[in-house]
Amino acid sequence: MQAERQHQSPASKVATLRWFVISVVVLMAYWLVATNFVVRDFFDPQFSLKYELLRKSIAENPARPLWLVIGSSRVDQGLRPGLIENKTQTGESPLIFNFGMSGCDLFREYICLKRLLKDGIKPKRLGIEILTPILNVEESDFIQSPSLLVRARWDELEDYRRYTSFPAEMMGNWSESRIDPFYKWGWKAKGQTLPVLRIFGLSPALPKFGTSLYWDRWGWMPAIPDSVSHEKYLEGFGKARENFEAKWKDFKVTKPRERAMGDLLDLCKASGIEAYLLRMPESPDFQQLYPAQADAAIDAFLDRTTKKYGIKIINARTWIEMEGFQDGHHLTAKGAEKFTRRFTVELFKTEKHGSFINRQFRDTYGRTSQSDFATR
Amino acid sequence: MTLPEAGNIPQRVLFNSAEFLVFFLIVFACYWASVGLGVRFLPVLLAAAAAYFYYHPAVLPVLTGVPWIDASLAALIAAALLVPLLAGWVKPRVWWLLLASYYFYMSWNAKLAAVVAGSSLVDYFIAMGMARSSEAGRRKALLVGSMVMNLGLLFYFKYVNFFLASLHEMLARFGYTRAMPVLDVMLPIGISFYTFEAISYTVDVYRGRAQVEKNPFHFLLFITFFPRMIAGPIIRATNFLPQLKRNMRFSWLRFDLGMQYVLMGLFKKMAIADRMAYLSDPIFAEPTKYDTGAVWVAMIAYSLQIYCDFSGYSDVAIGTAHMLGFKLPVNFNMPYMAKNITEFWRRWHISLSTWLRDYVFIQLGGSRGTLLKTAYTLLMTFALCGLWHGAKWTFVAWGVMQGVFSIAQRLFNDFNKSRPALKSLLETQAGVVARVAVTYFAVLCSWVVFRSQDFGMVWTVFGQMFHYHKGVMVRTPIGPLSLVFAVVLVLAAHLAVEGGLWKKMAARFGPMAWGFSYALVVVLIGILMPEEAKAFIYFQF
Repeated sequence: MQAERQHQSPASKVATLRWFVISVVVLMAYWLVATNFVVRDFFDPQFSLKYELLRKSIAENPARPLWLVIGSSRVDQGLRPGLIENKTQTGESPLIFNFGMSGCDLFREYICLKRLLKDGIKPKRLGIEILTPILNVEESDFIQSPSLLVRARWDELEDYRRYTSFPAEMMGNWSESRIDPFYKWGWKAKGQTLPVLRIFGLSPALPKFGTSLYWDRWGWMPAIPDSVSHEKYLEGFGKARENFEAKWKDFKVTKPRERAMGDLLDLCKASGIEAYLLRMPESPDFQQLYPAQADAAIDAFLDRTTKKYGIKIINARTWIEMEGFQDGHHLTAKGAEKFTRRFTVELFKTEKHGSFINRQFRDTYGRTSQSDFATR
Repeated sequence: MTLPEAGNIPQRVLFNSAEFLVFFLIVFACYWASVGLGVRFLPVLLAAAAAYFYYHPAVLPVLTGVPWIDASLAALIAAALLVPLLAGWVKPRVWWLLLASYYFYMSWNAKLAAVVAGSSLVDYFIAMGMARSSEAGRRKALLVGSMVMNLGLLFYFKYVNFFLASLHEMLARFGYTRAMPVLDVMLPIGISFYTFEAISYTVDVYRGRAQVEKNPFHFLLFITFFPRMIAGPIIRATNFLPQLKRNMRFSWLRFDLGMQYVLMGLFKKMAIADRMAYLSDPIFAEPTKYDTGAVWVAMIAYSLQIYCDFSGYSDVAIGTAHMLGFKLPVNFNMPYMAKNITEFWRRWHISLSTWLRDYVFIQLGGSRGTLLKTAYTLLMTFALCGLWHGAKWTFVAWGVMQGVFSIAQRLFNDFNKSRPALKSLLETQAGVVARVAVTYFAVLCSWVVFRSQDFGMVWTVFGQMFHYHKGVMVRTPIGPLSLVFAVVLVLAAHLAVEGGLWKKMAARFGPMAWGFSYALVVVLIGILMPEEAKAFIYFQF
């Protein structure tokens, strides 16, 4: 009772207010230190979780060469390395890992590869997805959008600066995200429980049910439907059309995209990584959305790039029929299965040092014309 | 009928917005200044004013924002508002709160604020008429007049299109297919709450349980007191009006208590309810797409969301009222610790359940008659409770479901009376846990009906909950661990309060512990709140 009475006195209230202010300052400082220096990539949870899965896979298979495929949500949802894990020969067979992330464009692919190399993860082969629908965008999405900019590490800001026309604004947004826990654009990162737990010194292992909701051990996102109804497809396709069609009227591959491609391939070359380009499947009606001028510009860009760097391209654009898509450019689980099997055969064909793949697998899935899908 | 969508509601009306904070700081500082504590709160007032002009450079956005009010008319209204104050008809603090309350409501819709004021004044004069008359017939006629007006307005604004549509459906079954008219009616937010308050006042005056309020400004403030105007708690005149007559004195204890309520409410709303919405909303948008596990996750998340959303609102309402020196009734008391459905309703939306008990259940006969009569009364009361929530048959079905649960509980109690062994088993710790779990499960199932758009969705969701359905999991920006932590947090809070642990701990807290706790809650709200504030679920009721 005495403590309660003391607590009610004005002097006690002033003391409470003082402690409140001190505590807010201390907690904000802790937040600043923890998010910037203690928990790595707190603001980039998608990269962080995929990176952990990749580390785990490498630790379990130290002798196997890493064949990484990096790209957007199309890769994230469309490539299922787990399906071919047991179909390759033992021993030196490669560890194929899907490092697809939502909205990942060439610039982000470049940043991610830099991060991996910095941590000593060097893929033997690297599949680089070309997200063709956004090759005509001037500013990188990651620089334009504050919610994506927050993902940048401080030592990457120089790279970011090279790609934006608004460096001061970009720096302002980024700094705010790092200092202010209330910064609204930081929420997509903060919203993830796992990184927040780490702020408070808790570091639970990735729970099985937690990771399986996002990715399997080979980096594929299993939370996608096996198939979708035609109505659902049309709904998704409508949204995709809304997103892209109007922007493709005067399509040309922009300089920042060319630069990102160059930076990425130069980095591969300098690091001794065998790179190849990957064009993910698109449904027939999605392909028709591209004006002829866009198709010509993209083909010319890819042709130029492959010739300049002497690299190959796996062009899977027409591999999958409409039934294999959720919305015209994201595959269903069945579509992903078909794509993965054919992709694997093509991938091994482009391998310089001989094939590791089973003859039976190649004979089964090397065929290209037959449809795996039941007629609707 | 147009439901108030989150996007249509100005930020000022949302407790979880910076604009409300600024608004409240101004009201708070001026309110205490009006009782002679102006100097002490001058810094708060200056800070609030600076923040206000930062957020709203335009002066008087409400008055100038309404098309039919031009600047000269706005000036005239402002001058007219000053008359009662200058004439001494009302205390400055009451005048100020009334002004703030109408500003609060008008910032959403000025015309509907006029409707509220009009109906309140009619109720005021009806009650005055009842008090002056000793003739039973006249008093009854006045009461009926008040009920007809209040329920008529509620019916018109909230239910008219619902009943027209239902009538159309019914007639269509008999081959009459002519379309019914659809009225373009805007639902006044909070109408279900203030209508019940007005009814309780006139009924209590009629019964002689409440004294008539002679000061119209006091009565208007009773109806529109802004902290609880939009979504309760439903207050009674007998509790609120005497507080207006008391001499107001600033109390640190009350301020502190208010602050605790506000922080707790904001934490519940912004750090739990809005996050849980990310797990439950997608399921109810497209239930067939999702896996059975995802549907269960969504339902558990929704049970937390609706509790934290609504009780969070009530907490902020109670807290802000405390900070202004008023005591509002408690609206929630750890409802998920209820051991049976009757107890659940003693803990959930207490101000509504006691209102229904006093003005509907008891009037219909209560528990005095046969079991069949009591069952009928319960069903009717809960069906009305469901309908009160909204103009949809699913709400009625949800209410009936609560009634059925209550009847089942009474039957089970009767069954237990002659079985002392079973009764004592249910009183053991394991028995209590089992009863709490069964009650929670029943409430969880009823939330499916409450949340679904129509009966088709109800069956779909139930089907997917109880028959394995292969689909996808919910992909949300929040991690799945969020649900686990929300469950643990809410459960721990329930247990700490129920077991008395919180009371013991709070008594031992010194300034440092309180200061740190407040800071932690504030920072956690900042970290955990989503990008966009969501409207409170109960705003639509």
